Amino acid sequence: DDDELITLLAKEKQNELYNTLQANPSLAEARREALEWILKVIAHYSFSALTAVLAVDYLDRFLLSFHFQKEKPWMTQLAAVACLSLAAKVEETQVPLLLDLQVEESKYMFEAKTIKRMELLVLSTLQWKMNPVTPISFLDYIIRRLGLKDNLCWEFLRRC
Amino acid sequence: MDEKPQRFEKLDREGIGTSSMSRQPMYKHLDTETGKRTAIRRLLLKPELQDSFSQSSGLPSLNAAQEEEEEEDYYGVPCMTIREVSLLKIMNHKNVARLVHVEPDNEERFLRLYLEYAGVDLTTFLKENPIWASDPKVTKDLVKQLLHGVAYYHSVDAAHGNLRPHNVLIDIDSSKENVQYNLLITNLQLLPDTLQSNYKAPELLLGSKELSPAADMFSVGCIFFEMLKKKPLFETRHDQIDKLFRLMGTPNEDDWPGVTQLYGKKLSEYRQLKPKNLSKSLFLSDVEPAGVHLLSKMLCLNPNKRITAADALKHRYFADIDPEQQFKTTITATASSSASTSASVIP
Repeated sequence: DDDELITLLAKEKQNELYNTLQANPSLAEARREALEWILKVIAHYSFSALTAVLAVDYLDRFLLSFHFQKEKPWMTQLAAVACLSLAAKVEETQVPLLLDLQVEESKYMFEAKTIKRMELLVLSTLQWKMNPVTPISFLDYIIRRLGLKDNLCWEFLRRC
Repeated sequence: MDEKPQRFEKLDREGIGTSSMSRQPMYKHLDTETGKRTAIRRLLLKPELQDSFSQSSGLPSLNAAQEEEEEEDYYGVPCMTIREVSLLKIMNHKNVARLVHVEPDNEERFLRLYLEYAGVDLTTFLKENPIWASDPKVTKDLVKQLLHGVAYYHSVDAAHGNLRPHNVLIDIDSSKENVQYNLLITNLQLLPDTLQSNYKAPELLLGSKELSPAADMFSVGCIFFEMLKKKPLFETRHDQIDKLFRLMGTPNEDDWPGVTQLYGKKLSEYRQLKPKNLSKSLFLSDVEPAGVHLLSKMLCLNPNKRITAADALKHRYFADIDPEQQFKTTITATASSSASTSASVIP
């Protein structure tokens, strides 16, 4: 079972976006807005914590490798919608339509077709690697390793 | 993403069958970056439920064609496509065809998956190499590799769902002193569905829609039989259940608890039959008893009792594959390969 931990540790990666954000305050602000919106929608649909973690992971990796133009401020929001949609599809059993996903007010509304194109761009930019190691992978491992199986634990894991 | 990559060149002379989606002939492609061959699999980029939604939608209708186009994008990239491709992307095993490249077509209607391709499919291998294919040691080696690949799928919580000889590739390397066979499991949609069901597990034939590791193992059993006898276990589709029950017995509550509740209605169409002796009924007297035993465990009707890939690898059928045994194989294989330069002509 140590193998599993070793695999997890090997796959764990540092968020490389941090330095980029330090150097680029406008991107940092756009990211903060996008994250706030993502968390609102997640609360609205009662999506799981893992969906939130995945959506943010996708967005950060995408922002890192994609060159954003300042004159297109809506791009970050579009990326946020696409990343959240992808995370929900990977993790949730019930996924709303693309239009219904944009429930919480944001400056921009996008057509389903536009979001789909962005989804494809995110998928190819992230090289279709949609199952990264997250903090939750470790929590899950530790809980199993400790042999904690009662409901309280799963409840904790569900809520964190 | 917009520019069309010229990385893959169509190998016009190397057809691999007909696409089940476009009904057009499919060809292998050369990956110019690696010099290796690939085969394309297509995945739709629109949800399957599209039809039911287009009827209930209350959108103002523009014109029919335009409306239809809009419908496709309600969900964006389908869930199953994302899950399947991201899983294939991380799969890394010597017996599983690697996903080399993914790209959408220009209109974003489907994805092209370029999958590693090597050698020939199992059907072709059995046909073109009757002598090698008749060597029990080769069969054992290939079944073991097949099981390793399938066990890998199951170890990452995936089921293959479409195991059949066309998706099993055998690459023969006769360049070295000892001939080596490398087996790759791929997943290409080549034939129409009607021809694909001969390898389906009984629970799927009885109406279950769930792809499972157990269902994969039944397919492995069918492929194992085909390696042993050079012909499919079930030749035609329509009487497959009937033939299976004649062989393994009609399932009942004793050997498959819960089967009546699950499939009782369908089962009532079949007579109650007792299981037969597999070795006699399938003319397997020339196969070692351990092999027949393993086959019977794979063809077990109850999916809960069917042998798993991991357990099958521990079966005594494989007990005699040890370093000493492999050395012997080397000697015999050398004897047969030295006289031949082509993989398909064996003395």
